[in-house]
Amino acid sequence: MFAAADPRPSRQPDRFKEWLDAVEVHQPGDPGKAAVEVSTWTGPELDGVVAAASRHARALAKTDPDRANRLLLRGAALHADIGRLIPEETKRRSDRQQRVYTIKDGRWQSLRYVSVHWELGRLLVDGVVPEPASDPRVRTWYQETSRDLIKLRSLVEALPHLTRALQIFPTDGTLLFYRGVLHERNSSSLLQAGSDSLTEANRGTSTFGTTRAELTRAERFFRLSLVSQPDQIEARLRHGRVLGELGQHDEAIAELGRAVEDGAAQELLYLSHLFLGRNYEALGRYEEARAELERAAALYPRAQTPRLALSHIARRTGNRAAAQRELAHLAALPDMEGERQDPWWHYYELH
Amino acid sequence: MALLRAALIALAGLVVAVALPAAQTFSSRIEAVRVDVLVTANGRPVPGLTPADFEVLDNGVRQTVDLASFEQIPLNVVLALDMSASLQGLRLGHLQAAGTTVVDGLKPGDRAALVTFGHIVFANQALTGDLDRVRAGLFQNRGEGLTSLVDAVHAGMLIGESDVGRSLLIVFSDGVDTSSWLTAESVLETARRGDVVVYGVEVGQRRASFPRDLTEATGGRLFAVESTKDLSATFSTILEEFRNRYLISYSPRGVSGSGWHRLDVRVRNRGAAVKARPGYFVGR
Repeated sequence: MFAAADPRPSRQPDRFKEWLDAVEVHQPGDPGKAAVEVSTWTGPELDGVVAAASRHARALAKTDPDRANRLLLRGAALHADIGRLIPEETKRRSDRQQRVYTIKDGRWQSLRYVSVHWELGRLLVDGVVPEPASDPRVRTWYQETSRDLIKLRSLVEALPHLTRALQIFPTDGTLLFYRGVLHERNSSSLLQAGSDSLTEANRGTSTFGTTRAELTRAERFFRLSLVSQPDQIEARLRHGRVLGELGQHDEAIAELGRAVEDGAAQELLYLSHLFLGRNYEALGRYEEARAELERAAALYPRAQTPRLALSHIARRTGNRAAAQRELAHLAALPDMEGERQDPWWHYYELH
Repeated sequence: MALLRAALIALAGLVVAVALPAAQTFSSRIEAVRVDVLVTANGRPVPGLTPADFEVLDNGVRQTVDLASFEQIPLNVVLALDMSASLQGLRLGHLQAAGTTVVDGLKPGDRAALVTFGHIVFANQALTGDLDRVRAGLFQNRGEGLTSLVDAVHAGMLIGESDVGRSLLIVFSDGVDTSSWLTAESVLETARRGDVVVYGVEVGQRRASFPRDLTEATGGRLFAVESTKDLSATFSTILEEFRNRYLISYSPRGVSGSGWHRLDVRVRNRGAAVKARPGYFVGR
C-alpha cells in the first residue's frame, strides 16, 4: 500500500512576493502591519528575500533604474523601521547574529541578539545604481538611521552601520559626527564599567577599547567632522570636551570658546561652560574656572554639577568657607529629579 | 586637659593654621598636624598609649608628638550611602537598618550627617546632634538612577570637615561610579588635604580602585562583603574601630611647608600594628 500523493498545492509561502507587497504598503516610520509581519520571519527566509530582491533590482535596473532604486530604498526603509521598532531581539533567528549584552548602571543586565534588519537594509542600499554614493537618498537614509541607532543606544549595531556609511560617504560631516559620538559614548564610565562587568563574569569582552583609546578615536572623528562641516556647534562642543579629557586643555578651551561664540544655546551652552570650567581648573586658572562654572550655574540654577565643581575648586584652593557655601547650595536643591534639571546627566545622548 | 587642647586646634583640614577665621585660606605655615591612628595588637585596639609611645616621621624627620587622645573626642560620622537603581527591596532595607545601627551607636556629643546618592547627590542633612533627623533621612530617598560615587564622597568629606571632633566618613556602594562629574583623582587629592577618615563598604563582586585608594589615602579601611545581609554588623564594627583610634598631633619641625608630606607613624616597643594616613598635602 502506498499513500496517494497529496493533491493540495504547496502551502510554502512565497516570501519574496509577500516582501514586495510589504514594501509597497509600508509607510516609512509607521509600525504598520506589514513591518510586524516581516519581523516574524526567520533569518534564512529574510536572507533569501533580500538576495532575491537584489537580483530583482539588478535586472530591473537595466531597463528602469529609478524603479529599481525606489524598490531598494523602500525595502531598506522597511527593514530599518523593523530594526527601530523591534530593537530587542531576544531570540536568535540567524547564525550571523552577534550576541550582545544590555548594560545598566555599569553592569551587564541581559542578553540579546543584534538585529538582522540593519544589515539587510545596508545590503539593499548597496544595490542602488549607478552607485550608492551618487544617490542623495542613500546619504539621507544613513544619516537618519545612524541617528536612530545612537538614540536607541544600539551601539553594537551602530558601529558596522557607520563604518559602511563612511565607506560610501567618507567626508560627510554628519556621519563623522555620529561616529565621534559613538566612540565618545564608549569611553564613558558607564560603558567602561559595563565592559569590565562582562570580563569579570567571564562573558567575553566588549567590542570597544579603553577610555583613552575611545577618546582618541572620538577626537579624530569630531575633528574630521568639523573640517567638513565647521558650523556644527554640538560637534565643536564635544571635540572640545574630548580634547580636554585627553589632556589638551589649551586646545580644549579654544574649541569650547568657539562653541560659545558660534551660538551654543541652553544645554549646549551650559555644557560648554562646565567643560571650560574643568579645563581652566586643570590649568590652575581657578578664577576663570570659577567664572565659567558660575555661568553654568546661572543657566541651570537647579543643577548639582556646577555646585559640586565650585565646591571642589574652593576646597582645592583652601577656601573652606566657599566650599561649604557651595555645599549649602547643593543641599538646598529640590529632592525630585524632575525639578533638578542637570544636562550633564544626559550629556552622552544626542542633543 | 587633652580634650581642651584638642578643641583649641582649629581643624581646617589636616594641616591647620591656628585661630584663622574660617573664611580665610590656609596659611602655608603649618602650626599643627593631627593624625588619626588605629593601633591594634592581635586584632584588638590597644588602649592606654601616651604621646611618648608614638614615633612620627614627617618626610623622614622625627617629630615630637604633643597629644594622643583616645575615646575622648566627640565623633562626626557622615554616612554616604549608594541608593542607586541596583539598591532596592531587601538590600535597601538592609542598608537603612545598617545606617540606623550607626546612628544608634553614637554617644552624647557625637554628631551625624547623611549623604545619599544615585546620580543625584542628596546632601540634605548636615552634621547634627539631632540624630532623629538623620534616622528619618535614611528612609527619605529611594534607590534610583546611576551611581555618582565620587561626587558623593566629595560632598561627604566636605560635610565631615568640622572644627570640632574627629570625622569619620562611611561610604557604602554596591557598584562602580557611572555618572560623577568630579574625577576620582581630584577627589583623592582633596582627601589627602583633609583629615576625614574614610571607611568603605563594598558589596558584591565588583572591585573598583577608587574606594581602595580613598580608604588608604585617609588611613581608613575597606570592607568587602558578599551580601547586604550582615551590613549592620559591618557598620557597627566600623564605628567601634573608629572610636578606638588615637588622635595624635604635633607641630612640625625641620620640614618644609608646601607639597606632599610622607608620614610614618609607629608605636615604640609594643609590636603593635599601626594604621594611619600615609601622608598629607599642603598648598595648591
